[in-house]
Amino acid sequence: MKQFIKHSVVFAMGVFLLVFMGLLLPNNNPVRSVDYSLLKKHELLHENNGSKLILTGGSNVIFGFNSKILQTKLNKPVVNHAIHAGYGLKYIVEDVFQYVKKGDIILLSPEYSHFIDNNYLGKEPLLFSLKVKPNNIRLISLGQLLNVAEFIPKFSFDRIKSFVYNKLKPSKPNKNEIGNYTEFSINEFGDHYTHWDDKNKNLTLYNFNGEVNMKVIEFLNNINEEIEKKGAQLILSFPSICETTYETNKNTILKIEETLIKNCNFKILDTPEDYVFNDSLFFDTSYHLNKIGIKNRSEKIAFKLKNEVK
Amino acid sequence: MLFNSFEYLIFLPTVFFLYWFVLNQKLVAQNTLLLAASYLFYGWWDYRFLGLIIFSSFIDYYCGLAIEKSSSKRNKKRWLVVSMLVNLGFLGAFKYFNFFSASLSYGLNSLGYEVDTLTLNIILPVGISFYTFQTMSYTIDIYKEQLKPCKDIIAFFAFVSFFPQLVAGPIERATNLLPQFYKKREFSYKKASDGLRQILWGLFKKIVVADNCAKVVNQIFENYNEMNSSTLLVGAVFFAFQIYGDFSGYSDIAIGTSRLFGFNLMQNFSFPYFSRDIAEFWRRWHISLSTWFRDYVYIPLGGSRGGTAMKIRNTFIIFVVSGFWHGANWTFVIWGFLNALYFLPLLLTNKNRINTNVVAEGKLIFNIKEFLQLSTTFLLTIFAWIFFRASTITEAINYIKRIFTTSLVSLPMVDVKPFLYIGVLVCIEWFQRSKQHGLELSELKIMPVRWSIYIFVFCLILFFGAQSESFIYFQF
Repeated sequence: MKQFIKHSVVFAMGVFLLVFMGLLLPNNNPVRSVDYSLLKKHELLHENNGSKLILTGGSNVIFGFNSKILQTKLNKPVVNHAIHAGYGLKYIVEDVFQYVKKGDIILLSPEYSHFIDNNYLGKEPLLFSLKVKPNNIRLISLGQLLNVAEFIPKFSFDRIKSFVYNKLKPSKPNKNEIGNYTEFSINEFGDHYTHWDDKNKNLTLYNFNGEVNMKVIEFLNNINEEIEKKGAQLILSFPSICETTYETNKNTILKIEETLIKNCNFKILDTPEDYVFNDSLFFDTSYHLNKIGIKNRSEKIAFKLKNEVK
Repeated sequence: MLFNSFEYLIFLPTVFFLYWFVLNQKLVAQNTLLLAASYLFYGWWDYRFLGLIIFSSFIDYYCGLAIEKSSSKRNKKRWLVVSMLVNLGFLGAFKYFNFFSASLSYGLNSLGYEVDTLTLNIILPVGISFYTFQTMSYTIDIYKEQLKPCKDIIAFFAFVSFFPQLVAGPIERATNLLPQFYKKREFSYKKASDGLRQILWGLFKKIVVADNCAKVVNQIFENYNEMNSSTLLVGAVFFAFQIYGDFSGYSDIAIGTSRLFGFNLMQNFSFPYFSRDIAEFWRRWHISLSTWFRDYVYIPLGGSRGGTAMKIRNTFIIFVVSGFWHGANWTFVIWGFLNALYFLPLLLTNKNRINTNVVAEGKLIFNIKEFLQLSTTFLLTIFAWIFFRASTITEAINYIKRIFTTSLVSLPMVDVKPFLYIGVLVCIEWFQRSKQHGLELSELKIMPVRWSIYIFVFCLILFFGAQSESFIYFQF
């Protein structure tokens, strides 16, 4: 038995070291992903001292607004802080909370999946976010760590694979072609803009299965209290979603809305139906709007926000 | 809980530790732990169906005792019938009710009687076909006086629900597995380390071969109307390896896990694609199911002892029933029927047992004759697999039609990278074909070489493993 345990431990330690090495490897990808735009967004939030409108949530927000429209209509500076729903609602909100100042309005538009099961604690992309901003490790709770633990080996080996690949086959990025989903695909407000003139792609449709998690509401109520203490305001808005995915998940979405209305201590700006758009207004997933969709949503939300922004 | 999941990575070492270090003094404690772990393992998927296993175990436990106690043959038979009715009743209700109901109403409607289809809105409990067959073998063997009934209820319940093989086999015989629950298990380094090697090999087959093939196979079968011949052929070949990697991978992990706990399960796959005829293929594919049908259906029906007509009848019965066991769909029946057609000429010419040894035994490579035999058997098999994979018979026929009506001289329209993984699988298994599994390396005495092989396979899993899919055989 001793020998068996010894050999098993040696093997497991080897695997552990490999995983650890993968986590530490630098990102040598010549074109860094959109996750890295978080650094620029933090700069925008940091530099902007006056009261401002902060848009946050998952990719329905980064792919859902033309902040210039909002800034013009509301006469208030706007920063789009959103990146990836997979970071989890908890991480997204706590990350933005670090930069909230007096007079700010935080317009939070979570994806519907954030309210289901433990998704608000994050998935694999959360690990990537920590690669981008290692300091943010202090925002991660044990619950979040356990939720993403299963992705750590795969994440680590993907990093090793990518590192080796880029070493063996180095390529230089074409500066004239930024492309979508890269660090440079965002404009001066933080909106993803490089896809605005692209043709629509086949939509990825979603199915939200599971139970509405009351811990999400509890978390939002708590963070709202903290935001209020800072003299800022939290407003919740529903995400834009394509008709097909909405129809498939109508019952779940209405259940989420009902739960929010019953239990939230902060303002809910609208209803899910307000942002159910035709599939043709979406770029590549059920949440990512194209240029026309973005204009519609931005104008609609600017109109609804007018009373809140004084 | 899936074998290739994070939960299992925590579950297995925890149970192992408790089993060998905390509860290793008493047999009953070890069996109780295995029972609790098995229920946790199964309940992780859906705890509501635990009641079904417990009920089924209880009935068979009681029937086993009652059969032994009964003084007359008639009473013994009565208890056997009770056990059969309960087990087959569960299978019928959960797995086949909707199929029979739909087929009946379709038949009546085509005769002009307007009948609505009565369907039950129920989920198929994972592994029901496996554990009901296992418990049926128990009562049948007691009835046939080949086994004494178990009087230790914990041991019996642990035997029925033994987590490594609970949801996808091997379908163990009570005569082999149950006595192992009566004796205190001693830890064996050789057995446990070989168990780990078998688990590693099973994971490779599942995560690298089956899951990578699955992505391409799904793409091809869902859009077969838009694919050319070469792509459809690739789809059929990939499915052959997907189902092999998936199911034999599961069996390897199950057998390997059992060995960690000191148990020996029967071999379920013995390199079936290295078969020279269909009879040999069926001696090497899903051995626990084919021998089950042989012992409990084929032989009681008369086997091959009677005349030609009886041989033909029994062959068709066993293959068609075996197909139907896989699922309530006519596609599985056709798959079984095709295999019976392939098998029959061998049986009728008494050539069904000519290839009982390992192909090219003692040689590095096969000769031309063996190559032709292996290729023919493989082609026949993949032809039948098309029916197994297709959703309907029409889909399967159209798929096959397109193979022959569109140009073969064209490049496949899909990612053919899984051929690389299949290549690694075939090469390793070819050299290991006389062993129990692909990584049986106990004869290799040079430790660094052995460890290099483990690390190589492990890296293949980590770097080339696809997104994990559920095991196909869970649905059966």
